[in-house]
Amino acid sequence: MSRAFTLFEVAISLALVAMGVTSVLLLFPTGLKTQQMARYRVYASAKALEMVDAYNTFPTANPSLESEAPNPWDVSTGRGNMAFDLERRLSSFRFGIMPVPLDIARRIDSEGDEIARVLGEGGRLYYSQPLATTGFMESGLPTAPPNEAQRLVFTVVGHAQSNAIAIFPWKAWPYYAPFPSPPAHGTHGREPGFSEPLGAIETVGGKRGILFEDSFDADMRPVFWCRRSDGAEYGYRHHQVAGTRDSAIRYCQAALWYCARKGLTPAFYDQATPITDFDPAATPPDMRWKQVQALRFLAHATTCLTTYVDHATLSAGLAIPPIDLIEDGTTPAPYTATHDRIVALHDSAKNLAMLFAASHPYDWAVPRPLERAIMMDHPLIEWDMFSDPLRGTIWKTSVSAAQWRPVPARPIENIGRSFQFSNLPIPSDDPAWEWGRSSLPSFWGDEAHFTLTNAFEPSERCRQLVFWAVDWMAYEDVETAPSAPVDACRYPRGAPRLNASFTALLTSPPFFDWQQYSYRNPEKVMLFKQDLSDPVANPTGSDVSTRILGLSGGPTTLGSNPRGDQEGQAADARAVFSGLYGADRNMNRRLDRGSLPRSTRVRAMPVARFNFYDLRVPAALR
Amino acid sequence: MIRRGFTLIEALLAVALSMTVVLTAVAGVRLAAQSVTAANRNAVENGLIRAGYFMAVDEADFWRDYDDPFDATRQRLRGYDAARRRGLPFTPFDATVMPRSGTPGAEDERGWDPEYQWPASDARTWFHGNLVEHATRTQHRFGHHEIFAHVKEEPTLARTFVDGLGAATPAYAGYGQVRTPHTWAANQLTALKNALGYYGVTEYMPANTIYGVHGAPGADNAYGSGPGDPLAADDTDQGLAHEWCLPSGSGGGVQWRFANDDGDTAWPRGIYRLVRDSTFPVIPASATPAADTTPWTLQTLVAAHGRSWATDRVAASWQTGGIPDLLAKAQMAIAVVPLRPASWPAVSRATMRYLNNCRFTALNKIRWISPVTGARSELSFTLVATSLRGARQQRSPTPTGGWARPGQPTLDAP
Repeated sequence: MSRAFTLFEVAISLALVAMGVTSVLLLFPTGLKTQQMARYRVYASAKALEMVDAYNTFPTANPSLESEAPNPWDVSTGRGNMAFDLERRLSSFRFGIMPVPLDIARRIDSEGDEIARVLGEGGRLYYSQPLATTGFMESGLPTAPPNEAQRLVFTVVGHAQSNAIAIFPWKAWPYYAPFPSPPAHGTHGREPGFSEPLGAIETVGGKRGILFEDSFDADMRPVFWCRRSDGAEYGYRHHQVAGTRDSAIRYCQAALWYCARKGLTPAFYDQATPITDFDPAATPPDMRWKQVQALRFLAHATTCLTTYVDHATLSAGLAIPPIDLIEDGTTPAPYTATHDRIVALHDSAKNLAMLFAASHPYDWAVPRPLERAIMMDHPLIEWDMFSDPLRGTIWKTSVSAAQWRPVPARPIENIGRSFQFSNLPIPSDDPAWEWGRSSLPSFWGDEAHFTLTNAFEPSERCRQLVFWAVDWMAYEDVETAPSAPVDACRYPRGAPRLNASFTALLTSPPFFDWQQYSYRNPEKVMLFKQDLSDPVANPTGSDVSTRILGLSGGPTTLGSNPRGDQEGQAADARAVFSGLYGADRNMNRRLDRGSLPRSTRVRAMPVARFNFYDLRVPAALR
Repeated sequence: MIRRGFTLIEALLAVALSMTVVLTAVAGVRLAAQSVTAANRNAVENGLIRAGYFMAVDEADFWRDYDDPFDATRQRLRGYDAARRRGLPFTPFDATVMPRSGTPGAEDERGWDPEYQWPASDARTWFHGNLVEHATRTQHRFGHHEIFAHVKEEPTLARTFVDGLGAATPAYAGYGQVRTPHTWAANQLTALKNALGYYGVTEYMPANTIYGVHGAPGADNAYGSGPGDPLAADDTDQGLAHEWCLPSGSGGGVQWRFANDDGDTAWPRGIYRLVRDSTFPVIPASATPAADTTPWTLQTLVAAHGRSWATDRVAASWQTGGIPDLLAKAQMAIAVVPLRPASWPAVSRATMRYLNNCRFTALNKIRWISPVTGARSELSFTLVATSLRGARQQRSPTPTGGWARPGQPTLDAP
């Protein structure tokens, strides 16, 4: 007997068909998702390329408030800013990547909890400003249309690398000086916190400073300035003040005395044609720096004559009477300055300075010529992480600290003293050396641990830029969430200044704030200056252009010092500066609030990974 | 046998179930259709964005928006203002612009040698001036550095100086005429600056160059607000040429000299100080190169390549002549697909090249407008790009010569 389907059977069949059809139809949106991810990969490619380019071309000369330290275990306060890690270099207000507020970053899930792991290890999740890394002051640019690329978040994974030390803390070599020039002197010596040798000679005119180069070679001191027992003054400083024919001659006398002190005779420096090379037979390596310095000072001093003595007179010759400058029995040979000899001295000083810099890259007795900076001016030094570190207490405190020992590619000769701490000797390898506060029988690390010139596999040093797509800007507090915590090194504070108040430390750095793009909160130019979290008082979409730090807190006239809310004197300004009130993160100058409540978690979709290296040896020349 | 129809309830249930199935199917089909439509739209948009991105990468390599090697009508950056002796970024280094003379490798060599690498060991390349000499307030207290290097081979140093700080002290007459040993670097710098403009000279010079030359201090940028004229007679051969070292201080973000207007820093400097606050751009021949509806005159172009823009100031007085003005002049907007179906988004790319903060930047913006919502979106990025020097060496100097093959004449070696 044939029987029709029961209603129940028909219903089941229809349900099955409906489920099948629905399942097939639901596959269609995956095509949409694929297209979206394809677009994010374009965004990520463009951003990764831009970041690596900006990282490699980042100005190395950005002002650092101080870069040297008195003890091996001290580090400068700006060390973190000047470190050559990609994320540290670029996470700044002129280079375009900003940390996602920590409150929001912690709500983002990712495959394998990778984001959570990075945050847990102290790393940051970043987003990009809506504009490219233009280098322009962002607040001066017109508002940009919405940028989907802001949905990309990214981080750097892979171990931080031990590369060449970008700034050797005890002496931020290379020191540059023009050639010819007088003994190096500068203004920092008299600024609070920096040291100066006992009896340091001050500069005159303009900012107060000191002669510091004589901390390596005391014979430079009279070349810079001295007063004889008869009251007559000699040297560069006297001529700088007096500016007369007589003072120029006295400067020449001081420079000639220096030549004699270094054992140099007229046979070396009194020549009508330029010297182009060290005489290898007559010039042992330890004499070469003396020849370079002697020519440097004598060429500079004799050039001063040309303002006060005309060409015709100098062609005939101007006698420079020899003098026992410090009355110690050192008297140079008689010398007659002529135009041709002055020109030859100038070229000789340059020739030997360039040659010395190229031939003796690890001899720091002579500053490097400013006129032609070269890659080899930068020494290869790294930390030895496989030897016992140096230990002591932080300068003028009882706080214990340690530091790895430095390892240079070759032993550094004539290391001298630093500009900022010129009263403190830099430890050498002399076992008998006594620091004064602690003993360091061996300062340098083990040369067998020097790796900078070793070959390496990519897997040993590669780091990775990891991009995700997530609509983090849909959160209700996307703009009112506080900035991610700002590292202390980002605050340009005057240091070291013991016993100075916190306010004094924050307000005295004598640099214009807008020039210091390595410092400050990376979100600085978009920070809100007041609490805008109340949706009644500050409805979504409000015009906030007058409440953004970068738009209203900048300098108004050239030369003005942009004090006030950018520098953080007051507690409220510090709150602004820390990003407590959030920021206009899409730079549209409107207050944006998304629809996602804070209690919601979102999942980030992986987009792309890009391998890169941190710079092994940062040696950009600019 | 009794035949029985569905009861009403059964019929109703059947209808309801059928409706459910149909509605589900319809909803599913609609969703699918929307997904397909959106995916298609996204695919088209992605394709156009990718096309814009690849065009930007291609342009970064070849500079065709600035100079089309196959189209003589789009090579206006090869112009030369003979009256003012100033060229543009693609001006060929021919006998008019860079005449060759002198002994190769010697101080008297003139003109551009494309093979020369400026080695740091060559004394010709070194700066020989006084790095702390102010362009106008110098007392030459530390001597006449003009005797070491100068644009002239035999300058006359005639200016008098007053001794010391007091008025009662004696005055010293000029030093007199001298034969200067180093003239090559000053002439190379000056010739390159005049031939290519400010962006060009910074791109051609080594990264460690000190910018500044002795001689012709009366000379100034003829296109600027400075008082001098580069063709006027020198008032003296002493001191630093003002165009290199003396900020014009004209305000409003306009700087008519090479110097960065960051205070009273009027002495020779390296590139960091020169572009920390300012920007040297490449100005295209037209703000709308495809249609060329707003071409700049030769004089406007030459003037624009002999100035800088303040791009690190936000105050109103700097804004007028600063970033907005720079964007208006230096940024080109080009349609990715000039003719397109109405259902496609309008996609354009904007490109701009400049130097600031020590970084030679090729800025690109891909913009698209949704044909459905009218919403505008933008992808903004910078690229690693071929240098201007590389672009010039890619090109044949003849207007329709196209790309130069190895060994063939180029804009650097016509």
